[in-house]
Amino acid sequence: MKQKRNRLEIIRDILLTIKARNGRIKPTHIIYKSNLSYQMFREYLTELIDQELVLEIEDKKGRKRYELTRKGMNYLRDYSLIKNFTQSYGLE
Amino acid sequence: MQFAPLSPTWFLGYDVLFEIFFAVITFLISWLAFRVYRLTASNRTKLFAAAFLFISLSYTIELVYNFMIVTALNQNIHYSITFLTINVLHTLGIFSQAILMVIGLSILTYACLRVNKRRVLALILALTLSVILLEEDPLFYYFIFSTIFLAFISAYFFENYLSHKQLKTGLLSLGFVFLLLAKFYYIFSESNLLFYALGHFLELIAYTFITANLVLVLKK
Repeated sequence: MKQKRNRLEIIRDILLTIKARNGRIKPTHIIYKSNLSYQMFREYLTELIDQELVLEIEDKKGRKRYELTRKGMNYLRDYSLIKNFTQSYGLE
Repeated sequence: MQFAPLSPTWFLGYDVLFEIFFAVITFLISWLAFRVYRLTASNRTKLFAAAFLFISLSYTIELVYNFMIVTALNQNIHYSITFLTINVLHTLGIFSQAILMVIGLSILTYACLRVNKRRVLALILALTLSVILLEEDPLFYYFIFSTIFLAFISAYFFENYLSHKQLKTGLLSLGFVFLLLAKFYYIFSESNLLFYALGHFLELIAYTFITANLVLVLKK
């Protein structure tokens, strides 16, 4: 049985999904690709926007799109460091 | 108040080398924790970063005054430093080292206990620092408090090892057990100088384990 994803892994999956679509993606695609419920998605997305890992952009028609910030890119680049450090020091 | 040097004469100078290693490793942990904090915004990670920064500063102060004492005793560089100056340096050094280390370990214990009330941290700091500043033998209490804090911190890292059972968590857990042993031996260093050297050797083993963990953490 596949192990349940932890918080860091879910954040990584969301960021990877956004990155895979050249940095611009609709919310429905993120929910589908990152395998989250709508409620969970909203919670994580709010957190990621607050932490400036993801940027929310509204087009002329009022549709929302998401793209990675430089900090979001750094998160993906340093993901193994974050995971190893938080695991070692019990910070998960 | 007058302090006698803690280090046995044969160990003078070597302790400085050990302390450089301890200061660098703890600074590296603090820097990594801060880097992780900037990306995750986790408050506990920020506390870890602050705690290890204080610990690193404590080692830095310790190595600086130990180095100054060694050079003063050798009388090669600083001819003007008298025995009185050595004692003043030693007193100031011990006080600042103890205060910084106790602050660092208090923050680390607070973070390990997963308490979210800042007043608890303020209370721990007020109690420990007041004893160190007011007691006649601050060094003894500094070692006692450090040992107590490290007992809690070691238990935390051991629990973390049990929940992950990985090499990296095991190395860190072992490292903190050796740090606890080192601080315990330091308690007796005022009555027997050999314990000071023994404490340093145990700390060296501890930081070797912690460095091995760091290598695994930095591995992609």
